[in-house]
Amino acid sequence: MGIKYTTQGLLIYIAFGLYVLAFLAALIRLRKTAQAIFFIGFTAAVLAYGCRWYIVNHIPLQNLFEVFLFTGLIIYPLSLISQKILKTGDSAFDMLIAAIVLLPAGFVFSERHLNLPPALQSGLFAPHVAVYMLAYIFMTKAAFQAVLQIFSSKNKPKLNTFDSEQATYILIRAGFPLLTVGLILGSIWAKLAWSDWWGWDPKEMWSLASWLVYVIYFHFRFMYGKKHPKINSSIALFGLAVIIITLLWVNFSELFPGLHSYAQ
Amino acid sequence: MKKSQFILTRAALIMLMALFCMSIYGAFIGPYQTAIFFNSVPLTAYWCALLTALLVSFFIFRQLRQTWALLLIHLAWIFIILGAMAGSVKGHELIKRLFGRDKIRSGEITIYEGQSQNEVLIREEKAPLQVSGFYEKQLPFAIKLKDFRIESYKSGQLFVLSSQQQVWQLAARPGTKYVLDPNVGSIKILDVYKNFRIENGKAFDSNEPSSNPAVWIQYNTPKGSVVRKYIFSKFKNPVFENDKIFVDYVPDIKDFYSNIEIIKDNKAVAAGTIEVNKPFHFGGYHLYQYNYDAMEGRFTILGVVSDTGLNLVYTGYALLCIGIFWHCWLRSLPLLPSRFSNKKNKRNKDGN
Repeated sequence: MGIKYTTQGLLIYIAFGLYVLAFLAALIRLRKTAQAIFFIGFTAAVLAYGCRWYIVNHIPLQNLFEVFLFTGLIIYPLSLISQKILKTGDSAFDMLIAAIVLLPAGFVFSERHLNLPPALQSGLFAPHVAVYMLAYIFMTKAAFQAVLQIFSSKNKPKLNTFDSEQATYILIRAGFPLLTVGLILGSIWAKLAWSDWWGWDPKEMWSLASWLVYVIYFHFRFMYGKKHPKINSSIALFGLAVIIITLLWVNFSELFPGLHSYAQ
Repeated sequence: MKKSQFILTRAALIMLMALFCMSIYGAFIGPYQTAIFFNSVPLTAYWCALLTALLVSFFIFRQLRQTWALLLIHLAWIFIILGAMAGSVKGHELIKRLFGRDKIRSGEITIYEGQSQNEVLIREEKAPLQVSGFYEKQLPFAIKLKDFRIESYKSGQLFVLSSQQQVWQLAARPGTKYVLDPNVGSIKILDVYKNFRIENGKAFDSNEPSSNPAVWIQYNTPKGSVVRKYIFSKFKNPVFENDKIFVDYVPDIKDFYSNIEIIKDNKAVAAGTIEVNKPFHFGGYHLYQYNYDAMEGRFTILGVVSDTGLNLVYTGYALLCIGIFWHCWLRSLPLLPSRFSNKKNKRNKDGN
């Protein structure tokens, strides 16, 4: 853990600061100002990612530092999609997630880079990681809506937006295909690199478990509809917990030695 | 919802939750034990029950037959489970018993440069916690290793061990300086070589086909003296005696390649290059670049894996992707508002 005294480090801190500022502006209802700051923060995150790409000379998704940096820049476009197309509410929470994911990139993970090992030199490497991160953002946003649903007694949606239970459902529907593609791309890549399309590796097992949580969500909601909104929301929240374990705990814990350890 | 539909959906939920719990359990016991667990007799019964539930659902839910996207999603799982069953050890045994087709499920083959080999070393599958043994079986063809080569990056990793047993792993990039510890000193990387040569007292990177990775470092001791040395990956490197640090250098491997020929009835019937991520397919087997002779690069270790069931699994993947995108994005999200919005809102009220 430490401060990064490099150009990319500086850009990460600028993006992080702007995301925090955008969130604070959104909290005091300066919506347009918040959006503008959020966009400038996104630009800084793009520059930081471009800088990293230039340094490592391949798409930077090799380790958790690069993955969190990537996540810090995709939140803005996903936030726009959620607002304009999915109509799932405003973007204050997106600004907060963007700041939270840049925090470990800026202060926790090392920016030291290693050469790509042979197994990672595959055309499936970048899409496999990228779609997973896109899916994880949608599921995080869904979990936030689930929290709103659980803790607010009367949840009145704003104009042109859905209520929290419905927004959770829409966001999970948006993220689930990406989660599926991530799992399938990983499996096809495992077949090419490690000879088995399913290797029973801890990361694979946790990825399957997180996918199954959302399959359970769909089946439960199909069965009961909106009769038990709190249970629907709890499953969505539980899904995020399993995703966090899949993304972080599996890579850091010595409990789960496996083929994905290079991602640390 | 009819009673039969309610019962089946509840059964599906229970089976999914059971699979979730078993996946978590599998994550804790390690890949080898998990593979054995998921291929055990009770789990075979579970997979058969899941298959049955999927098949029965097509008869019970009219919606599944009429909604193409849902049909594809559920059909996909039948393909994937059948493919996995056919590709498993027990699936291979069953195919041998029923159709007399004796195929190796998976194993390893070691081949020296210029030699051919068809003996595959196979690991026995034993019950959890039992010690596994190995046995050999012959492929219906032989594999000849024409040539094996390793490609390295120019840079690699420098490993430093101090007398206090502290270890540092440093990326060897020219111009980088690493402060190790106030009591140990610092190391600066002056240059790296893929194929080190020295002529007239001057070191340079040779373009000759041989390989001699090395790194030139400057060591600043805690007492202030400066030592410059070449560290070679192929030779035992010196201990910096006064300060007692040992330095070793390992170049990063970029890729490794096996040029092979398939020999059948004493004739070469196919040829190709195997590398990581690029297996070679012949006679119902995929051949993978597993490992190699790290000391001298004289032999290669290839993985031999049967392709039985793979087409079923990949068909299932394709159906799953089409079905899920169709159902989750095209049918339900407000991507095409004017045409689908009324239908969508009605459906969402029902919770589907």
